[in-house]
Amino acid sequence: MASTTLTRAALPSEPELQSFARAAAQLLIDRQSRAPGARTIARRPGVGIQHLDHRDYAPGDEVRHIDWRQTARLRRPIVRRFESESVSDWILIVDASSSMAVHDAAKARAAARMAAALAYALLHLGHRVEVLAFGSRVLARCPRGRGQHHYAEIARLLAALEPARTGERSDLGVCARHVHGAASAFVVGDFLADDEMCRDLGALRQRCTALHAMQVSDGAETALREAGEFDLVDVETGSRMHAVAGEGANASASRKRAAMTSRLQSFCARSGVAFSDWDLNRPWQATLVAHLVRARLRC
Amino acid sequence: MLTFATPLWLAGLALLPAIRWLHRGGPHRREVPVSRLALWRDAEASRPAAGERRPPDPAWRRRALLAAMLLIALSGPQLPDPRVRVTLWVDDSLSMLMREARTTRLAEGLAQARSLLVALPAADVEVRTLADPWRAVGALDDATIATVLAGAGRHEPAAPPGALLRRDSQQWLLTDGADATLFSWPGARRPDRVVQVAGVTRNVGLRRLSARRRGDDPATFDLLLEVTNGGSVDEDRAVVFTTGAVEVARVDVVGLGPGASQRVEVSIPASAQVRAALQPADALADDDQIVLDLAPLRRRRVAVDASCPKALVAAVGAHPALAFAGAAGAEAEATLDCGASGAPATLPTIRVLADRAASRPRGSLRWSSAVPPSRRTELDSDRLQVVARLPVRTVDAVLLAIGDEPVVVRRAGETPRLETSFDFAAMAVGRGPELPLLVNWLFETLLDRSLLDEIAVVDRGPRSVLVAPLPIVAAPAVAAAAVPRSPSDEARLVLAIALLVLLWEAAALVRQGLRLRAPAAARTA
Repeated sequence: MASTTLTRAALPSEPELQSFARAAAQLLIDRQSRAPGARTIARRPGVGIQHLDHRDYAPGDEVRHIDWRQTARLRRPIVRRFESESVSDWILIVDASSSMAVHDAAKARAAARMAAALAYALLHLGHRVEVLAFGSRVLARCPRGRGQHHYAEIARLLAALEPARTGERSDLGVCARHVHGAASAFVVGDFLADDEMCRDLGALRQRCTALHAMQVSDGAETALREAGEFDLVDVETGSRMHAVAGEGANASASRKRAAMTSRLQSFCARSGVAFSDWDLNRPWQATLVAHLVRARLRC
Repeated sequence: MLTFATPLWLAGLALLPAIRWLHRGGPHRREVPVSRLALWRDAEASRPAAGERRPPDPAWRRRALLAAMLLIALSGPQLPDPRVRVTLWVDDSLSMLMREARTTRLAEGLAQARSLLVALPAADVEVRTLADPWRAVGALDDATIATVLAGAGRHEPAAPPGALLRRDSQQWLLTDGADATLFSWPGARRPDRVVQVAGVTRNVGLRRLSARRRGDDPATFDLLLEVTNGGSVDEDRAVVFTTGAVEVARVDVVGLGPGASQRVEVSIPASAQVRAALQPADALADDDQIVLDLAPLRRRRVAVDASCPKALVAAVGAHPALAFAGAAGAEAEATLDCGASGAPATLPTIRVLADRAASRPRGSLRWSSAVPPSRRTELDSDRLQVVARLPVRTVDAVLLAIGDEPVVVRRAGETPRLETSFDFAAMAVGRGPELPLLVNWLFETLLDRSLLDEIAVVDRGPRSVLVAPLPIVAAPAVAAAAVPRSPSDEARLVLAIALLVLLWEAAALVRQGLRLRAPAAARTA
């Protein structure tokens, strides 16, 4: 069996990261004003890069923040105010349960790759980024930080992330207590749980300003390449089932997987969660950019 | 009804559930890890209830059957055999030759046994005699009867050996019941059926006759005869001794009671044979006379060299078992050679060597281990002198030496030949017992037999003349159909079935191997 250990080589290369950061820069400059629906988001002025509104100049304001256009129009000194940078905190939540380890941990590698690229782009734009890896508990955590040196820590964590081959269940809810403040959360995982993790996503949504859900889908997990009788073993729960594999079984599994995706998508649409289903056959760059575009349009 | 020789093996059948338990997991299917089992619910092959095991591998029945067959074969199954095996033990003692109303007891008993066996038409009969139990004479047919009748009375019978008392055959005994020792069967077994033939109960027989040479008169033999009344009433008889056709003695035996014996002692002139006979004869004629060969008691003739010392010649002449051969030496059985003998070299010879002056060797007498202690003679070495030096080859045997000096040597060769260097003339001067003792020892060694007290005897045994029947207890009647057959046939049958099951198992394994190989090949491709 191939090792599921992730190496640095599995992460995107520096040119790839830079290229993606440039492409996603405009999409990651946060201008979130409010969440969908009736719920308002508290936006606090402070030190940041995102413009919030204007006010009259007061002694002590930085001269560089004077909006000369508004000052000329209103005939009094007007300064720009910026959103407090806390709204630019990002929490990247990576699924490291055993279900991510099947088929040579292709999903885990992909999730790590996408999280690394997103972290790089966010750090490149000055955001603070925190990374959580979860299974039945928080398996690894990289505290919030900013700057390129912080990417090194994140990359080290993601590279060392090794999902257990068996026995590690998915419990997204364990990450809830780590999500606080005006942070955006980006969850990447397979969402293979009893309720597609909808309940945990809802809980997270209540604790963050924006929530993204990136479902990693691998076509191999719904296609057994051999026919015959097998003992199927759930890698997370360990429960077994005597099954007869074949084309029919593969088709049925694909339908169930699609149904799960559909239910999750519906939930995300209702809950204001930006959701994308990433087929591993598609490049992560295009998938992530498309997701960010959809998320911005939704906002 | 089916029986088992070693039923303890059947206890192994209790382990058959263990075979099912070992197969409880069924065949070892491949395990495929999946990320979410719920995706494959529609592919579930069966939906066993919670906690219920999958059915065991069906191969357990085949393997359990194989184990059961082997266990049954080991337990030695026995099916009742319609055939009946009968071993007829025939008492062929002398008393069985007693003449009854029509014929002898033995012939009448064999006829009775034959008529009894008619009731068992499928019986497999084997006849054995108690005098020679290890030899199966054959089935009870005319040839076997003739063989048994011809050989009866020659040897003392005994109870049959335990190794021949097979449990799968009935043991019948044909006897007159006169000898109680014939019923002491090993293992406290008893005959399954006794065919007893005993009508006449009067018999006087000659049990033992022995003869020896009279010491002071070599021309006379002393006879000792034992007369026994083996019947049930007092008897009077006369015993007549004859040599050739000449009656040499007659003795009356009067008032001999049942079971009593009387010894008769007579002396007769030396002869080659003596015959003792009872008068009048009775129904068992074979024990009424006894013939004794007296040839072993005759005097051995020795061809003596004229040059031998006179004392030596006189000692040979005085020996009661030796006699001088004629002048030609034609009847000689041994030769005493002192250097001038003309006797043929084919006769056993004692050579007396004398080629030097007499001398007395130093040392004590040393007997060869080849001379048994019972044959060694008490000699005084101080009174022995030698007149020659005996050369000894490696193939020769020194029978007697004085110190390191060999004095009697047995030369290697087909004809016995002794050489001695004793000075027999000097022994005569000493007037000691050495000379006759040495002469006797030399000739006994040369002829390899005891010469001074030979006995000729004919002994028929203490039970040979008993004819009165004793009460006989036979084993309870055995149902003929209950005799079990040897387990080997049934065991072979069960083993054959087990072999078929084994082949079945091998074929199933091959089929399974082929079935598993196909997906593997597909994966490889």
